[in-house]
Amino acid sequence: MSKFGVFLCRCDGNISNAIDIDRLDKDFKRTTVVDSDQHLCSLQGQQKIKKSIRKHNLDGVVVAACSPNNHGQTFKGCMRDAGLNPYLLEITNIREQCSWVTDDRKSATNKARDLINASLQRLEHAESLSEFRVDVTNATLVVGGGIAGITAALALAENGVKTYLVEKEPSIGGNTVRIGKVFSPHKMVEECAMCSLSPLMNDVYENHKIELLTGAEIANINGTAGHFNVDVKIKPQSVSERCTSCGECATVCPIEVPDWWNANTRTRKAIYKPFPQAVPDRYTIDAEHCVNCGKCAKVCKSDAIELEAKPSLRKIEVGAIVVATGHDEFDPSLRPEYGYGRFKDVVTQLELARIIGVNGPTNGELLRPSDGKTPKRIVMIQCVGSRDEKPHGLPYCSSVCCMVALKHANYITDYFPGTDITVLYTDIRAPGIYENYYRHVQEKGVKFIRGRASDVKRKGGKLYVSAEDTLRGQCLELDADLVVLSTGIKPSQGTVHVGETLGIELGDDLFVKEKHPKLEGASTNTKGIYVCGTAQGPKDITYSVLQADAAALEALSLVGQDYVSVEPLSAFVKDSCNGCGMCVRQCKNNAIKMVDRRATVDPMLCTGGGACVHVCPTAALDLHGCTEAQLEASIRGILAGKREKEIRNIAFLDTKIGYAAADNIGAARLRYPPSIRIISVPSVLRLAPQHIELAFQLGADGVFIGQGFEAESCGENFESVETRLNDLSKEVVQRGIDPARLKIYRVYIPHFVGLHKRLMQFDDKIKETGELEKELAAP
Amino acid sequence: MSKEKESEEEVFSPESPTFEFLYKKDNLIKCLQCGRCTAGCPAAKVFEDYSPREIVRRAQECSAEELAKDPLIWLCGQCYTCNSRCPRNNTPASIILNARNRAFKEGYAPDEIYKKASVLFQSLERNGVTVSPALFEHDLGLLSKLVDHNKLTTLRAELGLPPLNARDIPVPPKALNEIRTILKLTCKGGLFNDH
Repeated sequence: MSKFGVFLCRCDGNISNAIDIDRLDKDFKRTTVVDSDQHLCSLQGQQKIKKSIRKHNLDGVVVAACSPNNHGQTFKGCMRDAGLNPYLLEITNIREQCSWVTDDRKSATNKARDLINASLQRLEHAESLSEFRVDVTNATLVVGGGIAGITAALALAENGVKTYLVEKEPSIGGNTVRIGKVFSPHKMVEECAMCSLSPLMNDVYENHKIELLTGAEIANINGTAGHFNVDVKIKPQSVSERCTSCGECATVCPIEVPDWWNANTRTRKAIYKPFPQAVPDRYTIDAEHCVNCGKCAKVCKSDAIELEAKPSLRKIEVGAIVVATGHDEFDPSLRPEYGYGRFKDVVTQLELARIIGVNGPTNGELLRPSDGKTPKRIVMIQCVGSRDEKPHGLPYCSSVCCMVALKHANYITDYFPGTDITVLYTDIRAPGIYENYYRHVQEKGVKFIRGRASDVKRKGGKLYVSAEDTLRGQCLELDADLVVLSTGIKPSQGTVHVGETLGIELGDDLFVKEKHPKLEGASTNTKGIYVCGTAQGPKDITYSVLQADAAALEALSLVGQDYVSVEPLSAFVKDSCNGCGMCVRQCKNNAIKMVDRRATVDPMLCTGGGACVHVCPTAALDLHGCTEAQLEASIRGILAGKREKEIRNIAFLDTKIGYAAADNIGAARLRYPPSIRIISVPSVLRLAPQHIELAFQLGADGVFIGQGFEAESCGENFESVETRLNDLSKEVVQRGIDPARLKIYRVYIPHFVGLHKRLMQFDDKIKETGELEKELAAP
Repeated sequence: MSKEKESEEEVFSPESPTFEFLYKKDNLIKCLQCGRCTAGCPAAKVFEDYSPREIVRRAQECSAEELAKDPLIWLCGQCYTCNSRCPRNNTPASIILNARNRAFKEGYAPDEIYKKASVLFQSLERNGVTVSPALFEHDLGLLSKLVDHNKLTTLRAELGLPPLNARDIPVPPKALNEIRTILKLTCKGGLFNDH
């Protein structure tokens, strides 16, 4: 007979105000070892658990406290410290899913007792498991070679870690190359961006720990934190390292295309070098536009051009990944009222940066595109696309555009004195010491008018900007020789692509979502993948560089370890396997293979959803952490002691999304009746018709299945999960269950209110229908 | 309550949901006061003291009653440029329309508005159309400067169009009957009798 201990947490009133802990203490004392504490998660509380395990020589532990999502790891640590296998622990969620959601103290106490009893029953079937160790590959991958990616790669390499830097363009440098000048709030002058960036780019090239892959994109990834296998797709490398950058090839090339590096303010050839300081320092062929005429190859003295070059695939192994895929500029032609594209003298701040850049189309002279004359009056329009909730708009503040406008206004008044500049702003956002810059530019006579411009018109060959001076309540029509649009920052296509390929969570705005906005600002929601720069959100160079160093530090601390532990919650095969191969076809993660006519599970590839368990005709498959016996015990336990005329509804929720959403219901203190009892399953695909049937046989009046919207379900997409759930419900109905007693719902974490509403509706409906008459004989 | 009474209230009560769809309260609160609406507003260019941005501020600060009493709400031309400009998806024109409906119902609208409305109503009842230029020829005010009838006739001739004004084509009797029935049902009790 196993000896279990029950530990009750009062949570400083959060639990004990709603649940009579003393009563539970007394009740359970009759049968098991019981203890309680104000804070089981505190060092003192943990000590109590550890002492008790040793003193009573316990075989298993139930901790009745907050959600396992909060302190699950803490209590597992207690088990280890006390010499018990951590998988002999059951956590009963009596806070988020009991004390916080139940109105009346008696009902809450009864529900808590039932839940603890269910945990004790499940604990009978618990198995000791040992965690896997994954050897950590001491190498990292940085995706994106802008200022953030360069900084992260250098930080990693300088700490001795082999680092792959993947960049889709032919040179590293990113947007920093294009902006020309950077603002310096201390000196009130603009510094040359290239002067800061170029030495870093050269360091990247020279650092033997960094392998630079340009013209390359991430094609595929698998593996987990500590060991990722990444496929990198590399465009044809038509110009080899023998290139001396003499430039003869470009002079003979007949193809001219807009030059992205110059924000399309000039053209380049199909064979080109992006900019003089490009790294790697060589020409490149733009395969999209090249017509394969071969003229370049003929004039090349170094025999560096290989027109027949093919794309290649490079397979790399790394322990950690840093995403630094940057941003794109908001397309101002989406706001046609500003005339961008219709009027040549309406340009973006980035185009202005190229115009006044010494290596730009006018060699640094301030000349407007239409007629090459020097503009005397410049009007800058702020918030183009930013703080804009219209279609395609960016609802957020792009955070750097105010400083970019100030930078250009300051530079132009310094180098082209007499230029009249007006900035039309919504709010000037110059936080911290940047305010000095704002003041400085004001002092120099740049005009600031508070009002967002409505439109740009051309009358008699002149441009006019309509705006309201909102502080005066006066409508203005400002004539301008040049109109500059301060366009917002949006996630780059590369950011969205990499987000999807790596399977990391993106936010609503499609920037990479950080794990915690304050405490873990350089981590993503996928362990082992970190983020920095504008891939994570709009920010300036200063913050991009800081975040890059933070991301590198996170990656370093991971690859510096010898191994990482992985929870052993995977499928396993029993002796009864007859080698039919049904499970192999079921597993979309390719985790099951046939070895010697027997199914074998690769625990590293298995995501532990359990969809395979019930496709096995000989019941030879099962799932660690949620075995048939454990799941059955949960169902049995949660329905045990059902009183006459009492209604009980089981809600099966997937651990990652559904269960977390249910926790959020508690955290928001929404109420639901104690008749709703939640059972966590790794994925709803773990459920088979017999589980539902068993629930009804044992007295459940209704069964609710909540599947998380993006929850990992054995590699199946949502549509196929839904199809399988429909099949499940059909089969259950065929077995004689009233379809009204089964509800399937799609859960979305942020919308926990929706889950709450559905649970309530379902419970109401079942109560209306009444208790299920037990037509089915109990087994 | 009779069915007819119900429909009347639905259409003409300023609190009725019929007009609530015209603007969202959430958006109203989120106004940035950036002035894009006013900057793009043709009416604001003509009338110095009129500004849709100011109207939104007043809608935030004062009661619906007060806004309805504000004579400035009658200067909007309902072109909805303000809606196409607003970065927070507000529609000052709808706020104004709502205030106008209230003003009209409660008797705050200028006499001129009742007079014009009455002309429109009668025209609709008689001919099945609300506006024809002839109705306002004596009272075009600012518009008379903008609309040059001779020029219009010449332009139509140049484009090869007949001199006939489309509005001179009478509404077919069946449609006219339907319009009259609608008016009877929706304007029971007399829309203008009180004023």
